[in-house]
Amino acid sequence: MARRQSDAEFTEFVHAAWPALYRTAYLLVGDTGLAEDLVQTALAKTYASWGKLRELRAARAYARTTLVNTASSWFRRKGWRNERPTERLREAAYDEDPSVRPALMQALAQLPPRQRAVIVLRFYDDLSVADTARALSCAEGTVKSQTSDALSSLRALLGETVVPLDSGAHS
Amino acid sequence: MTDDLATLLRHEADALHVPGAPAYDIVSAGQRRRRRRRAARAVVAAGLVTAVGIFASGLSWGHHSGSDHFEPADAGVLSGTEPTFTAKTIRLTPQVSVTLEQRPVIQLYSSAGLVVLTSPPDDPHQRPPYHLSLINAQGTRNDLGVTLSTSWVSAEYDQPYVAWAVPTTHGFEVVVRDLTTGRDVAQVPVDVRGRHPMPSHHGLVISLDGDTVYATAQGGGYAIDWRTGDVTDAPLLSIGRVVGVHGGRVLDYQAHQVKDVATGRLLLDIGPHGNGSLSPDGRYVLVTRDSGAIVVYDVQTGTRVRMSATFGVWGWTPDGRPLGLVSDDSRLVTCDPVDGDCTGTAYPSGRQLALPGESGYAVQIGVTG
Repeated sequence: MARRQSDAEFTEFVHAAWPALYRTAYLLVGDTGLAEDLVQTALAKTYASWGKLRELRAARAYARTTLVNTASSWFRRKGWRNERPTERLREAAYDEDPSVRPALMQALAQLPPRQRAVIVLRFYDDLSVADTARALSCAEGTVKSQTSDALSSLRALLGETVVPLDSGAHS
Repeated sequence: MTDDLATLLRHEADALHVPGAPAYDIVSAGQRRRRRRRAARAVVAAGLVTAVGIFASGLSWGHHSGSDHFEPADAGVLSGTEPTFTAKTIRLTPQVSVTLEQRPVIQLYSSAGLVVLTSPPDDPHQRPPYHLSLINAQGTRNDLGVTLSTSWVSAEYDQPYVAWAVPTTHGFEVVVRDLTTGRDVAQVPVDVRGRHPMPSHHGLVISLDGDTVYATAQGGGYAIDWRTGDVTDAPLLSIGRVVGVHGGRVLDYQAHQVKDVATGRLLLDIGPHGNGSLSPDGRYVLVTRDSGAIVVYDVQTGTRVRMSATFGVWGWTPDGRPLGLVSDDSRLVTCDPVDGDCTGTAYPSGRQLALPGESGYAVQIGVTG
């Protein structure tokens, strides 16, 4: 039975859910301002469905999935390429001297948005291939191929110590 | 491997400065969105009347999918009944269960059976004095004849011993009993005068790990070799940061790392997470993610495997497999820590169960209906 939940409860929920959503959003879009916009949008959408959510844990899952869907819709926009200009992938030279490897966010920024999303969802949020496909509204095969491509790029950028050849074996 | 991609992502996210949540703006935006949605529904309703008329007149009508159509398919997975913590029945096997007069305060694995600590049956608040019992695989309960004023008790899944501590004038005394003979095999007094930390009456966690009994207090702990009686400081231990010791390993809840308790050496960096616990043998560590995912690391290799089921409350089987209650359909599942495959059966409504967990932090789950 759906429970009518008040604005006060929702406000409490916003404060509790905000930090984790913000972190995921930042990893997804690579910019603090955009991350803030993304979480605000996702939570505003969650508010619109607040009365239908049975409990806070369900609300948290709803908000997270809404956040990913919203990010995906941003990625689908024509011209979305908010990242830094794509460079040619450099040769792997970081295993020997980790101090010179590029920061993780710089490496993520070089990935196309969809590839970055699958990396964040699978390796930060630990979603399965099926859950990632559902969140991104694409086929599981697409998630697998995007993951493989993204890992190859990250391996070249960050080295095999960070991204071993068997990365992504888990489903 | 401690420097993998998942760990880097966690550290990157953890290091991020998180601004305050603009809750008022979000609520206002949500209210505007809801008003627009209601207005749109009214328009759609009016449009449907028109469409029916158009369709009836033989014309085609295109479909437009709005941006707010989303319904999260997984929302139901995370909802459901919370554990009620009313279990009195301990289910040892599908065939054998034991019903106690009072739900146990603590239950712990040992190779001789399940050790339970119970309070007087007529006390709903589970206050002392506590009594220790041993329940064997046949479901027979044996009173160990031990009455305690605290719940400072620990046992080990592969050893026939139970250890406890009793407060003394100048500290505490550790007692180890052999469950196969019923005899005490060690009584080690620990004088804490002039030492730090000084345990409070309710602030000591006992953890039996091989020949060592670890006593954890606020801000530090002690390692007591119960065979030789040697007592040494264990600075790595501290309530709120590191509690149970398993296979010589501890999970540091603040640093998000698994360490060797004797040397303090870093064994695995798992990055920020929700909750976590080590398996009884210390081989695996289970952690929860904000997304609800359950992940198990092999401490030795750093291999990380996501469990195929999501559960909010978990324990471990004696042989080190995660055991959890899937709350949405009341399924009790056991997971393979190597491939993440979780299997289980629906738990009948109205029955109760209990899951032994970490030393001193046994988990109990009751499913009532």
